Amino acid sequence: MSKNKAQPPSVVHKVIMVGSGGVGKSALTLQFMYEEFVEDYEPTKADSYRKKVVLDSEEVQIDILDTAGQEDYAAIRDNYFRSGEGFLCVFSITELDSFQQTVEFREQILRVKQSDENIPFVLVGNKEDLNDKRVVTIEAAEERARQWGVNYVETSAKTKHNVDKSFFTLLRLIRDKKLQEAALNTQTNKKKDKKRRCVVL
Amino acid sequence: MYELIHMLSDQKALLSSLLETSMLSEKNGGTSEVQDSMKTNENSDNYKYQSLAYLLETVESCPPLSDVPNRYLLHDGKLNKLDCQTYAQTGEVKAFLLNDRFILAERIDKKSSQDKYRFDSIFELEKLAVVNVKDSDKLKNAFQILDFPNTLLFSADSSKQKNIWLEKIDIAKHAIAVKSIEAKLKENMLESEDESYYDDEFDDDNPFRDSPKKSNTKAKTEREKILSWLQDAPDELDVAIAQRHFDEAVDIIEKIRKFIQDNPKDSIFTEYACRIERRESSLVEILMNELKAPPERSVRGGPLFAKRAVSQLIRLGKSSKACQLFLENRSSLRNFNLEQIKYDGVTQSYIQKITGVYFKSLLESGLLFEKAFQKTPQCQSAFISWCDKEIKSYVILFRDRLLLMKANLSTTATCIADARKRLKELEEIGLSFEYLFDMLLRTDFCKLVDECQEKQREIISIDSKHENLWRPSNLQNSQQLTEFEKELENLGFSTIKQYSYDSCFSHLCSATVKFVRNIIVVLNDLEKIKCESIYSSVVNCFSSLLKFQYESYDKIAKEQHELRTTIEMNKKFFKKDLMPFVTNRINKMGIVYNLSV
Repeated sequence: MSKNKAQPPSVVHKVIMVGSGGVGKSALTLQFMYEEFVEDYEPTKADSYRKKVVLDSEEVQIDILDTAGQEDYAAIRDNYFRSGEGFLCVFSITELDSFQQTVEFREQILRVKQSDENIPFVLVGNKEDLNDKRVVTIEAAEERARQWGVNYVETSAKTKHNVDKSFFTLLRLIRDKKLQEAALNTQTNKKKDKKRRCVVL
Repeated sequence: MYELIHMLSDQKALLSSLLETSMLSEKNGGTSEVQDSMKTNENSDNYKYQSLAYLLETVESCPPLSDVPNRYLLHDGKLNKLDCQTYAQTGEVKAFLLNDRFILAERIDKKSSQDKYRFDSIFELEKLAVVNVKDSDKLKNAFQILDFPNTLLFSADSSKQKNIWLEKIDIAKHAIAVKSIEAKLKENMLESEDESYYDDEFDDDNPFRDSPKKSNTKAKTEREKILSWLQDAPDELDVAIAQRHFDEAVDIIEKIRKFIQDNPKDSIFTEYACRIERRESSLVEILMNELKAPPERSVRGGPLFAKRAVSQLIRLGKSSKACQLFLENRSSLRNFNLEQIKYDGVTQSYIQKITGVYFKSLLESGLLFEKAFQKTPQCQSAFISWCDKEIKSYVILFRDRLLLMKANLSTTATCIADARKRLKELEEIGLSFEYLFDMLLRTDFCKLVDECQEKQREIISIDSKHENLWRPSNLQNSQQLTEFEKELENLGFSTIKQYSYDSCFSHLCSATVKFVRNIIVVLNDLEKIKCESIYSSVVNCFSSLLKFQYESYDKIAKEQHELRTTIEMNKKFFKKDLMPFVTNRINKMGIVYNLSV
């Protein structure tokens, strides 16, 4: 097919949106993708998006998988999580329950990712524009982020506040992790080479 | 298996050809019952079976599929297989969607037009994650399936095609979920049937034995209906909460609760209860937050919204929480209204505005509370103690502000009268707090009376030093005298004319007239306070003032001999007119006391 001949840049970073239902995962995604805010709420099943972005003057592609907060079936959730390289774990600052559930999401992600504590992960407190209805304090969220060793960003999908920041923070984490792993791989390869040489000698 | 399918389809072909011939022979009016039944079968089981057979026929080395009963083909078609990273097309596949499996196969001979495929992979639908890939410049009509470690990207030839795929997959998944619940339900039914088994034995002779069975099946379908509704309930609930249709959300929860209540032993329902619970608690939290939000900042604040949130919380069984939050909300609303009041330099209107805010809040709260908490009388005491607190907070503010602004007796008394009027209004809706108001302010009232007495005594003692104040009043002309007479007559002194002489004089000296006027002002003010606790202070005040004034007469008479007649006349007025007048007024206030000097 002709449309596939133009090869897109090879680096694709896979981001997964997780969080309880109604916290604004899709709203954040749509704001990031198309710079629009959708008021109407419709539960997402699972949508994926791809966009070309410039990350620190390097052109990369971001693949966003917007998952269903309502997905009750763990096996399916595992399948989503396994396909991701980085996670935006979203809660609503106006809903304590959604904040508490981030713990479950974090645990599930770690379980799926073989307890890799360094998995690129950003904790996102959305609906920052509804500050007067805030029930999750910045301190509480930051404390949790500190415990997990992750970044905390407060966003508003409505006003676009910090939306790009949250995505780009995660993208950098993913990129750095990939670079690290690549470096590690070449190292082990070298070691292997050395070993082999030893045997030859 | 394959042979068996062939045999069956052969048989079917034979049967239908036979039927056709028999139809021909009985062209007019033969029964076609057999054929009818055949057709219905074709539409259901046989068709399903055939579709599966078709799959097995076209796909080489396909794993056995007929091992699971009721398995059938839902959809099939050609899909383009794409590379997940680059989106480049890597091939073409034939996909089959069964009710519980997703199968991929590749064309064997790409050049031949024959529909022959080789089995590629099979996925369990239940665990399969399906992702709708949104259209972009590079990619259209695509969707992804994730089944670790496989991630496959497909594109359909049109968006319509893609939507059909997604829709059918969704339907199949939904059906699987319903089925698994039904299976659990059956398990449950078996258990409950076991329980009722022994009961049935006694009914052996019952001629109506059939009827309970019938109702049982009826109940079954009813139950299935409920279950399919329950299946969607959590989603619906999420939507309702997210869209802030709280009433709707509460309706859903209530409905689920009712099902659980009706079937206490049914573990399926309890399972749903667990799924709902989390959402319920988040709903409760949202509602509570709505009530907690300070009214000036809450977009949806205000009494109307609070009222709705309260009624929803009550329906969710959180009446005491609702009550507490409702009252807190009312307090903060009152506080907000209080903050809006600005001191404009007029103490009286300022205090009256404060009174207005408090009592309007109390009155409104009382009415709202009565409506909202009708069915939960246990909340009444909380409301009463809230009122109590409100009144106390009001009294503190009232006292502080009056003190701070050094309000005079008149202003204070007017404010008290105003508060008392409001307290009476509250009484009309069954809230009587006048006793509390009086109790809290009793000492202040007494102090007020005492202070007033002090002030008047001071005036008298200063006046007693000005001897010209104790001379007969010269009103210059008869006209002014008449006016003077009229004034005192209007005040209640009908005998005033007998003290007039020489068409422009009155025996009543300025000091007396001033005293009369002051006393009347004090009377008017103290009358407004209307508190039994101050009666003794009031009596004390007047008797002391009268006495003090009377003593002043004697003192002046002693010092100023030429004024003796005038003083006598004034003493006469004092004893005959003023004392009865004051006694009368005091009695009217409810104090039975005879003043004397």
